[in-house]
Amino acid sequence: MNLKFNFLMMLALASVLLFSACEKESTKEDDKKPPVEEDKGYSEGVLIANEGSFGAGNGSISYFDNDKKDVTNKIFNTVNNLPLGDVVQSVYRGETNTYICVNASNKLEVVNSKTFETIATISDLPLPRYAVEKDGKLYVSCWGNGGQVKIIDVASNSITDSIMVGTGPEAVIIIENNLYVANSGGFALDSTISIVDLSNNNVSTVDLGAYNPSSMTINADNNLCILAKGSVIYDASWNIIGHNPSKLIIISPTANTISTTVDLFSDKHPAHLAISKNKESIYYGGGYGFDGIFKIDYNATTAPSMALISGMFYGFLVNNTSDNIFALEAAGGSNGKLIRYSNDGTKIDEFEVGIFPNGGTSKRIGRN
Amino acid sequence: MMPYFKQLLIWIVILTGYRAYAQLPDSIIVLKQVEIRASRILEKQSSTRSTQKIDTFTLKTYSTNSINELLSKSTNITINQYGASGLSSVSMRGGNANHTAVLWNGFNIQDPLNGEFNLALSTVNIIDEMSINYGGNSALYGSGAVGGSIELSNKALYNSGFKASISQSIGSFGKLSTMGKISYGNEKLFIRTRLFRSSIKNDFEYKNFAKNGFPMDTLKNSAIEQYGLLQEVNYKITKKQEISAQIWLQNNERELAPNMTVTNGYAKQYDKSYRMATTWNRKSQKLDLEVKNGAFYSQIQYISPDINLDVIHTSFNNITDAIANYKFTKKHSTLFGINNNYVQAESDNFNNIEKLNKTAFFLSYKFDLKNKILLTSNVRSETVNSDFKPLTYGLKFEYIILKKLSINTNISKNYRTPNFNDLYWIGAYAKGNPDLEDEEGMSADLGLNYEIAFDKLSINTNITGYYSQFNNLIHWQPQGNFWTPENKKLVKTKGIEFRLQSAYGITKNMSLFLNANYTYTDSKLKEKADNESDNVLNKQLIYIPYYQANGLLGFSYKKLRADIILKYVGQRYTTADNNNWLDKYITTDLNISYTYNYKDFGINGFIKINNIFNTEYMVREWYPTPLINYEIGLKFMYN
Repeated sequence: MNLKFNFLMMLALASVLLFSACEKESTKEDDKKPPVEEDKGYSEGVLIANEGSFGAGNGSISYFDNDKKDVTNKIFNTVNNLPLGDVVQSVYRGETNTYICVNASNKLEVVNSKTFETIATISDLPLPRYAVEKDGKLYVSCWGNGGQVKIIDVASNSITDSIMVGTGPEAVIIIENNLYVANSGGFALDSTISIVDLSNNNVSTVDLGAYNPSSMTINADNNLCILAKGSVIYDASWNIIGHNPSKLIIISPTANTISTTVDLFSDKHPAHLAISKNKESIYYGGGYGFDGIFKIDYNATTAPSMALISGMFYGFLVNNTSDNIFALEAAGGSNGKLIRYSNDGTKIDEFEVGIFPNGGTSKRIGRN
Repeated sequence: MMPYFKQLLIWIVILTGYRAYAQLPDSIIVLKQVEIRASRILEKQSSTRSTQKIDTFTLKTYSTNSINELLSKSTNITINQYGASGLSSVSMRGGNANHTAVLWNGFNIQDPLNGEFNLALSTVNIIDEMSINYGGNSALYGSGAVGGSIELSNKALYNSGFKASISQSIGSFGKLSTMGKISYGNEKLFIRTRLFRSSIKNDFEYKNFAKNGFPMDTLKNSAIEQYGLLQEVNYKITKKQEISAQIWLQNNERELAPNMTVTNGYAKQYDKSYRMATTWNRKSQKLDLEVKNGAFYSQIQYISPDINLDVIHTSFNNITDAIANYKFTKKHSTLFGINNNYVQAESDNFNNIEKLNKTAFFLSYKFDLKNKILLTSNVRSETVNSDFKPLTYGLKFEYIILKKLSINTNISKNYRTPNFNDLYWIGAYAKGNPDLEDEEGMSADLGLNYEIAFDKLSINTNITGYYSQFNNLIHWQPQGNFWTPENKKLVKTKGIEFRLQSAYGITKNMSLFLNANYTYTDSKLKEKADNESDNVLNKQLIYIPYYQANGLLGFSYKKLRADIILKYVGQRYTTADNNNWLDKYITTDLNISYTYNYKDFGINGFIKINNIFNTEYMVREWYPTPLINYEIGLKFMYN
C-alpha cells in the first residue's frame, strides 16, 4: 500500500509539472493580429535606423517626436506586428512613402510615411544600403553583384533596372538631374564617386584622390560634400602597416570637379557626415573605433583639432528641425542610446533606442 | 494536486483503453533498471548515482534521429538550434556549447577551432550507450567539462555470436534514414560494422511571422545529407587484457537556411570528420591499466555565394591517455593519469598552421565504503605549450542514507582553454587574441537520489540544486577597427534539476512508464564586456529559459509500445538586456512501436508523429520549425 502511494505521488507530481505548463500556452495568432493604424505623425520627427545584431533579425526603427521630445522604439514592429529584418542599414523618407533598406535581409521595406503601415516588401536586392527618390523612381545603392544602383518604380514597387557603379556603393544624393553615388569600397578600396545622368542612366566617375567615400551632404553653396573615410592598411597577416588618410572633399555639381579638399586625419577614420540646419556647418565623426563628432565651417579649408563632442558613437545625425545633434551609441547586442546635444556640443538628454543605432533621417525638406 | 491526478488518469484511459487501472494486477513483471557498467577507468571514476544514463529504450526510440533530438526530449539539457539544418548547441547549467564536453569512447570530440560538437549531425544509432554528468568535471576530463559532459560510447558484445540488422525509415520533408549493422562476437573477439546514410530536404511549410499577413512559406535551402561508417574491433589478448579500435568516418553536406527575415540564402557547409580511437587495457584485482589514443581529423568548408565566401578550416587532433588505477584495499583506490593533446589546425582565416600541445597529469583518490560512503577527489595539473596552468580539482561525495536513498555532493573547479578561432582568427574586421586566458568555473551541487526496483515497480529519481560560476568568459568586442575577443564576463548560475524514471507492471504483459525532467535555471550576467550597456547586468542569459521540462508517458502491451512525449520550454530572452524574448511553447509527440520475433529473426516497425498539435514555436528567433510531421520505419534483425 505504502509503495503504491509513493508511486501515485510521483505520478501526480510529474503531472503537475507537465500539465500546468500546458495550460498557460497562448496562441500566436491572437498576439500578432495587426491593428488598423491612424496617422501617428511618423512623417514629422526623426527616424533612427537600428541595425540589430547580424543574423538575429532584430533590426528596428526608433521614432523621436519633435514636439513631445520622446522616443518610441520598434515602430515598424509594433504597427505591423512584424520583425523589420536583419541589419537595418538606413531609413529614407520619399515623396509619399518611407523606405527602409534592410541589408542582410536583402530587402527594402516600403511603409506609409504617416502610419508606418507596411505597403510592400521589395526582395532580391543584393545588400541594399541607401535610397533616394526622384520623379517616381527610387534609386537604391547595393553592395552585391560588384556594386549596383537598383532602380525601383515607386508606383508599382518593382525593380525596373540596375546600373553598375563602383565598389561598395553607399550614400546616394540627387542634384538636378544627376545621381551621386559614394563608392565606399565595401570591404576593399575605392576612391571614386559615380555620377549617373538620370536622363539616360549613363555613368561617369570622378576620382577623389582619397579612399572610401561613404557619406555625403549638400552645403549652403549647394555644393556636394563628401567624407572619404580613408582606410587602415594591413599586411597579409592583418597587421596594421599604415593608413589611407580621411578627407573632406567638396565638389561643385555644375562642373563635377573637386573644388576643395580638407585633410582630416592621417590615421583615423570617421564614418559619418551631417550638415547643420542652415547648411553652414558640417559635422563628421562616428563609426567603429572613432572618437568624437567634429564641427567644421562649410567653407573652411583646414580641419579643427578638437572634437565638438567626444565619445564613441556608432553614428549620428543632425535634426533639421531643432539643429540638435543626435549622437548614437551602440551597446553590443543590446539596446543602444540616443544622446541629444545642442549645436554647441552641450548635452541635452538621452534616450534608449534599438540595437546598433547607426543613423537616421529627420523631417523631409525639399528633395533629399 | 488531485485534479491533476485525475487528468492524468483520463490520459491513461484515453491512451490505452484500459479502464481498470485501479485494479491491481496479480501477475509479476520484473522491470530491470538499466545498469551500465562503465568499462573505461575515467568513466567509472566520474560516474555516480546522479549520473543520468540514457536507457536502451530511449536510445532505440531515437535511433534514426539526431542526438540533439534525444537530448532535448529526454534530458535536462537546453538545446538551441539555428534552424532545421543549422548548428545545434547545447547548454548545461548556464554554460554554452563550449562548456559542455562531448566524449566519444572517452575522447573529447569538441572541435578545436570553434569548441563545439554539432549534435545535430550525429544519429543516435551509431552509439550504444549515452550518459550525462551534470556539473563540471575538468579535473578528470580536462578543458571544456565546465557545465557538464555528455558521454557517447560504443560497447563490445562478446559471446553474442552473429548478429545483423538493417533498418530503413522514411519521414516528412523528404527524410530517409538507412542503417545496416553486422556484428560477430565470441569469447575473444568482437567485430561490428555499421554503415549509415540519411538525408532530409527540410522543405517544410511554416507560418512566416516575418511577412505581412503571416503567409505559409516553404523553407528553402535547408537540406542535409550525411553518410558514414563506424567500424569496431575488440580483442581479448588474455583474460585480463583487451585491445579495441573504433573508426568513425562521416561526411555531411548541409544547406544553411537563413532566418525568416532574410528573403533568400544559398549558404552551404560541408563537414568531414574522420575519427579513430584505439585502446589497450589490462584489468586485475589490484591494478587496472588503460592506454588509449584518439586521432581526429576534421574539415569544414563553408560556402556563401551571397558574400562570395568559400573558406576551409581543417584540424587534426591527437589525444593520448595513460591511466593506472590501483586498489590498495577494497575501500581505498588511487588513480594516476597522463594526458597529452596535440592539435594542429589550418584555416583560410589563420595566418599560420597553428599548433597546441597540452600535457596534463591527474590524480584521483577514491574511498568506497560499499553501500555507505563514496568519496572521490581529483586534481589535475596541465601545461599548455609549456606554460603551467593553475591546478584544477574536484571533490565528489556520496552518502547512502538508506538502501534506496542517497545524498551526493560535487564541488569542482573547472576551466576551458580558448579555442583556436578565439586565439588565431584573422580576417576583415576580426582578429583573434593570442593572449587570451582560460575561462574558469566553479560549481557545487547537492542532490538526492531515490532508487527502487520491486517486482512491479521501479523508480529512479534525482533532485539536485546547484550553484555555478563562470569567470573570465571570452567575449568578442570592438577594439579600434577590429572585433577581438577578451576575457571579460562573469556569469553566476543557480538552479534545480529534477528527473524521474519509473515503470510499473500492471499485468504480466502490460506496463506503464512515466519519465519526467524539469529544470529551473537562473543564469545571470554579473560582469559585462566593455561594449555592452549597464542594462545587461543581472539579466538572464539569452536563450536560457528559466523553466524547462519534458516528460514521457508510455504504455506497453506485449511487444507493442506507445508513448506520448511532451516538451515544455519557457520564455527565453533573445537580447542581453532582456528587452526581447521568445514565447514559451509545448510540443507533443506520439511514438508507437511493435516488435515481432520468430526464432532468431525479428522485425520492428515504428511510427512517430511529432508536434501533433501543430504548435508554432521558435527555438532560435526567426528560424522556422516544422508543424506536425511523421516518420515510419522498419527494422529487420537477425539474432
